[in-house]
Amino acid sequence: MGMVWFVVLLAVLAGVWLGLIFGAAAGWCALCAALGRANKDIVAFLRGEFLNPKAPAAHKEHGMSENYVVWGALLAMTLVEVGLAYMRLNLLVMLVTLMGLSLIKAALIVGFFMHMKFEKKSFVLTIVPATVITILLLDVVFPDGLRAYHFREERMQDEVKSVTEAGGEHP
Amino acid sequence: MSEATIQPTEHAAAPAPAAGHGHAPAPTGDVWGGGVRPYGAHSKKFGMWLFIVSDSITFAALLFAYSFVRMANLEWPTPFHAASILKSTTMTFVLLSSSLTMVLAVDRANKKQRDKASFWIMMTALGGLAFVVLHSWEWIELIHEWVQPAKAANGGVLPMMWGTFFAATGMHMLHVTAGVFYLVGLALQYKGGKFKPIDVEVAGLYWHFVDLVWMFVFPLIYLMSTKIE
Repeated sequence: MGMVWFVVLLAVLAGVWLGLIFGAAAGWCALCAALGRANKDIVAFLRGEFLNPKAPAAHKEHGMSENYVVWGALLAMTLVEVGLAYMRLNLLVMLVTLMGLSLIKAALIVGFFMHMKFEKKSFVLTIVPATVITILLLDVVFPDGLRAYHFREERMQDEVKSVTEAGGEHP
Repeated sequence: MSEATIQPTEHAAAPAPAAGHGHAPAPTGDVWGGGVRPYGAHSKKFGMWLFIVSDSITFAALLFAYSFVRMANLEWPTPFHAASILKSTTMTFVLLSSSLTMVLAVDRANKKQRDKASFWIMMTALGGLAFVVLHSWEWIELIHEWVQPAKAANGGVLPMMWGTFFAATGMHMLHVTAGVFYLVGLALQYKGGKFKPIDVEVAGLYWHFVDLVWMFVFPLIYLMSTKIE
């Protein structure tokens, strides 16, 4: 009987949690629709026109509405991230998901808030690729950090062996 | 910065767009030959971007160091309980919202509304201040319940994560604090008739960058180490 209540409670909590996230997202979409204009920008964004080569210079006229949309999206993604942190996922899966979301958030901040979407291509190409490549190159040190994991596996095998040798008693 | 030093560069962009069709400034191929503006951007903006490039590599190095140390250790503490996550999530929302107010400030500055721009810059600084206060609170609680210097003195070993945690979040805090001073100074002087919209835009770039860095610090350090009871 206790188990049933536990499952019901979990379902309610999950419902509230999902409701909050999707409610927030739906609310923002409704607001965006009400504000108009934004739709066109999202479509352009999805079409891959992130770096608009036709943008003449920094002062292309664009409305404020898309900035509200970006803000809402950033808040929603943060909520999803916090939710993920409590889902007992595999560490690697969580790392990849969190970093994926963070990269999307970073792209939104750089593209819209920091105006990169509206800069000339020459400006973007001067600033972005070199920075991204330099940061990605920092990855090369990671193989050295994996040594501890191999060490742990060996240690666990040793422990299993010593436990069986000692007749099941904990060492 | 006097008018004379800014005006020539502002107008140097004018000959570039051929009849406003948004083509490259000089189709003859001497875009990079000097005397024109191949980036079509103010020098101050480009300068701030160069700072952001170097600063982003600094922060990346700190976060990579954190990740490396975490990978290389068999045990890793997960000290961030619900109250801590609640605080850091609020901090994230505050920082993201202060980015929005900064966007509003730049928008009003470009519309030549000095008072409104100044007001929104002040609101941004207020968000930054709230972030600093919340984060300090968070630090103090962590020091009380987790870092425990007294224990460390007895055992001689500081708990794991002390160095990397305070290095990464401390560096970010330093940037937010510097940003608050930068913004308050700018808001007061901008209201008084000093500076141009481009200066607000450049300050905005800095502020959004500080926000952007937190978008990596928060999940990597806080969310990857939540205490789930």
